[in-house]
Amino acid sequence: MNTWLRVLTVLIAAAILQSSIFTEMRVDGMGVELLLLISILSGYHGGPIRGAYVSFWAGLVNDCVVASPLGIHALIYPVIAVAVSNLEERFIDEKRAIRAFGVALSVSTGVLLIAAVGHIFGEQTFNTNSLPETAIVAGIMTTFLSKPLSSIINWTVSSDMPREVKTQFLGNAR
Amino acid sequence: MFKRSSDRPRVVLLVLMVAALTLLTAQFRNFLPVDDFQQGFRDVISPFRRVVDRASDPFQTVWNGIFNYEEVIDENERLQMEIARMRGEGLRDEANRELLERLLGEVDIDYLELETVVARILGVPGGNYNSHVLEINKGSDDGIKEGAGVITKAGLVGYLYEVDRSTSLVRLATHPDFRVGVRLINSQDEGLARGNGTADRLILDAGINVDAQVSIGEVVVTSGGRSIFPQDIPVGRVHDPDVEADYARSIEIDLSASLENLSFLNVILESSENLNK
Repeated sequence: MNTWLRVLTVLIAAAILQSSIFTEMRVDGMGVELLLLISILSGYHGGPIRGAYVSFWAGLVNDCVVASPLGIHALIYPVIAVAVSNLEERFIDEKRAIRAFGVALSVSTGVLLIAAVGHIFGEQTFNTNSLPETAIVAGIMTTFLSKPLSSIINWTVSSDMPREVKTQFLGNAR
Repeated sequence: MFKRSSDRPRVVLLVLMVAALTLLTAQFRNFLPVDDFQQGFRDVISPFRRVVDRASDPFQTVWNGIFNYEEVIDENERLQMEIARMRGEGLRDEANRELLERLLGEVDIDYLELETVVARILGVPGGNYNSHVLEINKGSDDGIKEGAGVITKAGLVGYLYEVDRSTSLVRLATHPDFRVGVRLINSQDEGLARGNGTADRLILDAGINVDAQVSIGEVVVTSGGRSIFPQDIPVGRVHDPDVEADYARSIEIDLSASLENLSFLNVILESSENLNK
């Protein structure tokens, strides 16, 4: 299956889930950011360029789903994906808890950046009184989905990429 | 001179950001295909959404049972108190109704008999982007249009700001971008009220003179005119008349319709009969 066909399928499936089941799954009014998570994971698995492209389209899809001006999410998601991709090498060998914290932090940052950009464009849609709380809770809730979604996104964005050859230095051979 | 390979992601990122900004500009300049694209996308996935919603209903019920159990108990207690209060008020209302009709007749207000479509609330849009927004189960196929006023029997709720074929989004009166022309019943002063992001309250800070006589509890209705709302829809009561203001008043209005516990709404149809009211 072609990579971009897989990406399209995953994004549409995510849009359907985001606008149906995940509108109900809320804690104190705060919900999961599924398409932001896809952007983060595509940056993590697909590298900065592929991650940026996938997350741009994920942003556009999210703009359609939540009826925000077309381009607001698409402006921020690639930035998050490229940042995650650049940090990926440092975190890949870390413990699972550290990586989970990284995902939560990325989601929270994404939510805050979207709110900031929305505000710049005159969209006062976020409840600014509870914005930090929203960012933290959305980050934690979304992180719970990262494990099952990670393998799907890995298959989606990197199954046709050449496998990385791991080199291991065994020390100086004398 | 060769480019470093690490420069390429930056170039891609820059191009994508420019593309996003171009789309944003097109949207803010009301370049129609952009709006149509978004609506078309939502219309295409709408049937799939309904299927997933129906399939995941038991799961959603369990989720609500776990995370919203306290709210359900509170809601139940509140409704029981409400029923008891309404039973008590039922008899009193009979007497009050006659008095109200007489008073409204004196200030030249007719009872509201607007042509509306009843809509059920589906919930809030996905993600965390939209606060003070609700999704309803009626769309352009039901004859409603963007900008239509949304009310309940208790009064003003908001207006439609996105209308798809089978669903629409309601921007609530508490939304910071919400504006409505209002009239104070006693003084007959008119002004512009706005949402301020807090629950169940509007701020009236434009059009009212500093020396206008405004009292706590005074009834506020829509002023009509060029507004999207027909005149005389109940808005609420004055909570704080801000009598000590020096040069600009900021009057707080408690909304008569509770926006926290809504289930059904009435969308005002754009009929000539309604517009003439």
